[in-house]
Amino acid sequence: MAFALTVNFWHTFWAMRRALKYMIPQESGRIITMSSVEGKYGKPVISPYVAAKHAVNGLTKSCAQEVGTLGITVNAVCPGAIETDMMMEAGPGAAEAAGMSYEDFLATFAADSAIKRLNKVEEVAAVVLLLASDAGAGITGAQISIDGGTAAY
Amino acid sequence: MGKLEGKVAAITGGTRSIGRAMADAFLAEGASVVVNGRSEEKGQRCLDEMNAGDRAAFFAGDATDQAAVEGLVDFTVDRFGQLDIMCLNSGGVNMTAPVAAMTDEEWQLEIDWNLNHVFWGMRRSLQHMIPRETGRVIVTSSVEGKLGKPGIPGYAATKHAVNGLVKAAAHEVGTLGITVNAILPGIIETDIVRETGPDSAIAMGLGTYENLIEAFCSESAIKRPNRVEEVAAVAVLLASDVAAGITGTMFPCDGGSMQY
Repeated sequence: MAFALTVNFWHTFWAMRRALKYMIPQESGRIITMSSVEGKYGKPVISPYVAAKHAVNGLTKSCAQEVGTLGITVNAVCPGAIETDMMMEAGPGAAEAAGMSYEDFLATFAADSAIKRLNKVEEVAAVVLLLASDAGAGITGAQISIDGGTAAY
Repeated sequence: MGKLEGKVAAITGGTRSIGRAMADAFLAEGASVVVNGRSEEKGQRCLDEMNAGDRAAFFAGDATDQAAVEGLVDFTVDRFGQLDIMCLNSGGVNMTAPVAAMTDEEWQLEIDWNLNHVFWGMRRSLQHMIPRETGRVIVTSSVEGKLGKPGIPGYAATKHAVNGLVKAAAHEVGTLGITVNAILPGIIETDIVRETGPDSAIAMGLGTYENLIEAFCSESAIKRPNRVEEVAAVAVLLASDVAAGITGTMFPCDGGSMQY
């Protein structure tokens, strides 16, 4: 749990706090936190990850309200499962712990979605680009799903 | 090269405000666009202003009229040979009133305008998109699709309903290369809001138009209305190829008004 909170939550808080020190005086900025569909939903056996990502969403919402009139937006992106390097490294072990093959493990994520496939890093990057742009000035405190229809809200 | 080169879009309520901003943004990204609205005169003015030549067309019709909404889809396919991006954007209220004073006529109008029009347009466009196994349906919902303000029960109810429709449809066509998403803007000072806002303010117990705008803004983190260009930027993203993995999403564009 401590590891999951450090990687997923504390690092977000530390960097957000420090970045705001520079953004608030210049009254301009974008903070984009990497949350997850697990920031909205809960899956068994990964409770530290789920708890940490829910915490990131809460942090994002509060911070957005704090700096909303200062030209700074704070948003979370919530991707579905993606076969990142980390997934390829840690996925087989997690799958084994769950008593299934790595392929079946990935398939369980895809099955929850409407598109029945994993997401892609480029799909997340496109949303991040929008949030980072000037046109994203009116979007803040959002938890944007990039999950092929997995989360219902 | 634009993000929407070679794509064809149709937009209900496309001659002004949010729909018009979408049309302008789509044209800038290389798409062809059919804008729909009730007024021939406004349609012609819109085409003149967009100055996009053969890449733009106008289709006259009322979004509360099933034949007009379905006709927009058919017209677009006839004119441009395909329909890639269906923006079901028209919507609003006419005579705002609390539930206890709501007339049957107003209730029916809001059901037709905000919900049935989306269903009619979605069904017709999906019938075209499913065989092609490609498409984007983008619905302009609202923060009232998640929240509920007093005095606009029909608007809140129909926008909630639209969100449910979007989620269900997204799952139906998710493996067919078609995405279905809702954009949920906060208050924007569109033409319709300027026209109906004063009456709405009274129905909502807020007195003046300025108080109405302030009531919405005060719920946001940015303490200002949203802008049509902000919604259009989201629409461009959802319409683009790279957004293939985003579907069934309630995409906020509300300055932090909603908690979820």
